[in-house]
Amino acid sequence: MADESNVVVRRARMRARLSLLLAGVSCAVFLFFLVLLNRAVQQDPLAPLRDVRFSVIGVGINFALALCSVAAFGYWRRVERARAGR
Amino acid sequence: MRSPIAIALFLIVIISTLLITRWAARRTRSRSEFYAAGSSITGTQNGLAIAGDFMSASTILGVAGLAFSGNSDAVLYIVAPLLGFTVMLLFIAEPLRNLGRYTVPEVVALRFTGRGVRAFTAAASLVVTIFYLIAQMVGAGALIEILLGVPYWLAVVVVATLMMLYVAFGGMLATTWVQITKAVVLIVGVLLMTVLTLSRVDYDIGSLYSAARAQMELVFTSNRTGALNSLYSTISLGLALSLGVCGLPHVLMRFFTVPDARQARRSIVVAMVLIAVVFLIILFVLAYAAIAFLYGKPEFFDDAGVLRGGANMAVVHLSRLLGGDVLMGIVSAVTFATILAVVAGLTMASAGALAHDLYAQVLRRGAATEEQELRVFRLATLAVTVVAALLGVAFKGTNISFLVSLAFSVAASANFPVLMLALYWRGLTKRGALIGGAVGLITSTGMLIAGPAIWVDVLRYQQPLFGSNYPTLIAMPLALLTAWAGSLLDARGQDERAGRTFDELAAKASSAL
Repeated sequence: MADESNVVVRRARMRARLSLLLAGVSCAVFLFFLVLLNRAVQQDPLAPLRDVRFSVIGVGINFALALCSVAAFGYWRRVERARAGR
Repeated sequence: MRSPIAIALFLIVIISTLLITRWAARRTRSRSEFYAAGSSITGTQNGLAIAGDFMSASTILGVAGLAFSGNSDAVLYIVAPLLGFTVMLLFIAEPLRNLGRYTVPEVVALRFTGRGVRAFTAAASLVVTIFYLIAQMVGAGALIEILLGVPYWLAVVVVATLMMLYVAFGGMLATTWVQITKAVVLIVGVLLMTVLTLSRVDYDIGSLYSAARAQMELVFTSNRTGALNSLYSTISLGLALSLGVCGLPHVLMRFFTVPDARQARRSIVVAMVLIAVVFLIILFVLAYAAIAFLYGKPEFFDDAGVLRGGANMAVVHLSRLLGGDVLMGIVSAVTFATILAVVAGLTMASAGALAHDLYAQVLRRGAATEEQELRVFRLATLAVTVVAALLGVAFKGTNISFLVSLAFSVAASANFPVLMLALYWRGLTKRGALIGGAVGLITSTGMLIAGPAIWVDVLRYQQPLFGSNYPTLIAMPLALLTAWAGSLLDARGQDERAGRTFDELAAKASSAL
């Protein structure tokens, strides 16, 4: 019983670490995007509106990171289920 | 601007949503059904409802309005929330679903004995939802006044009465289906406008951008002010709009309506796709179309050269240009449905915090019967409605974007740090949570009041005490730091039993692999 509980706690910690890693990457990329936006506005206040790539890249990156997170967790869950099955 | 088609469509929206409420009221009896629709909503339905809950009229019309007036902040408003949903997917959705039943404060309160933390988180939730509700009421009153020609106060009273009926009688089931209906109607409306816009440029989006850029050169001659002008404000607003999403009680409580963690994850993915698609279309197609087609047409501007009804009405004017009174009526009705769906979600969250957390758990210490709690829930709904209507009338003319940013700032600075630390930090103590949450709440609201938007524009002082309208970059780290320091200095709270509670909750939170 105690072993089972330890396994669950270990999995919860691993999960939190994986989430932290993915969120850290997402936040770092977002921060970089914010700095880029700010720099562009210093040159030309309308730059983010004139150049639609700002929005496409901003939304695209966030989407890619969210999908990566879903895929990473899906894979991790499959591995955990397989391990539990064994 | 009053049009018979718009009035007819408004009536159709009102009748349809009341029929949904009647249907839901027959299926809503127990506490679980009232607060969480009996956890019977599927992931896809909940994703639609989250999208319906999140995409408020002020966000949709506001983003297009910002772009129409040459403010580049519009880009930040569409990109930042998506990061918030990613963080929600990674850290919050599953633990909330696995640990909670009805409200967000009860999840935080699971970590600690006593009633202090629960009372605080319920109060912070109330502050956020009331600020958000005021913004929606002010927006609703102004929009309906312009679109239907009815007095502002009457528009506010109509919206308030409808939201009370949905929530008090239909509970979460009615709220959910009103939000789903709104999301579907909004997506159809936005797609219809996109097709009509593109048909005007022979489906060549490049020529639409060229025309919009040519107009920008002509009309946006002076430097615009916005958050993106300073790096501090850019990051601060970015943080508020992204992590603030993770502290919005009306969005978070949607995770209690699905049966399991898997459906909670699916909800976020569906919501993210829908929100991103609608936001991108609004910015990339409709806002550019408004810039390209409306500027230079005097019938849409008043004598001072200002767009009739303000920049937020750009999409509504565009609809009239594209499809005459019929399309304008449809867009107006979609906007009205949008407002109703968001205020219903906000009322649900406020009444839940009042009835379930403050009354049943804090005041009655869990001794209230289900019947008593539901009676208080209905009374709380009535009280929230009256307060929202009165504040909506009192705040007439206030900048809506500012009120919304106030809600996001408080959510990011008070709710989000406490929720995250309670879910993931073993060392958090009751005192640490209270200190951190209070510092986040007081600092964010204090700095907002001391900033230019209130201190100078509302209170009419010459110089602001704090030079920015965006406090999150200071308030949120300060909340985290004081929660950490408060917990470390709280030797009594760091006992073995508290550690065991955290381990048990952590295991339960991730139990549905």
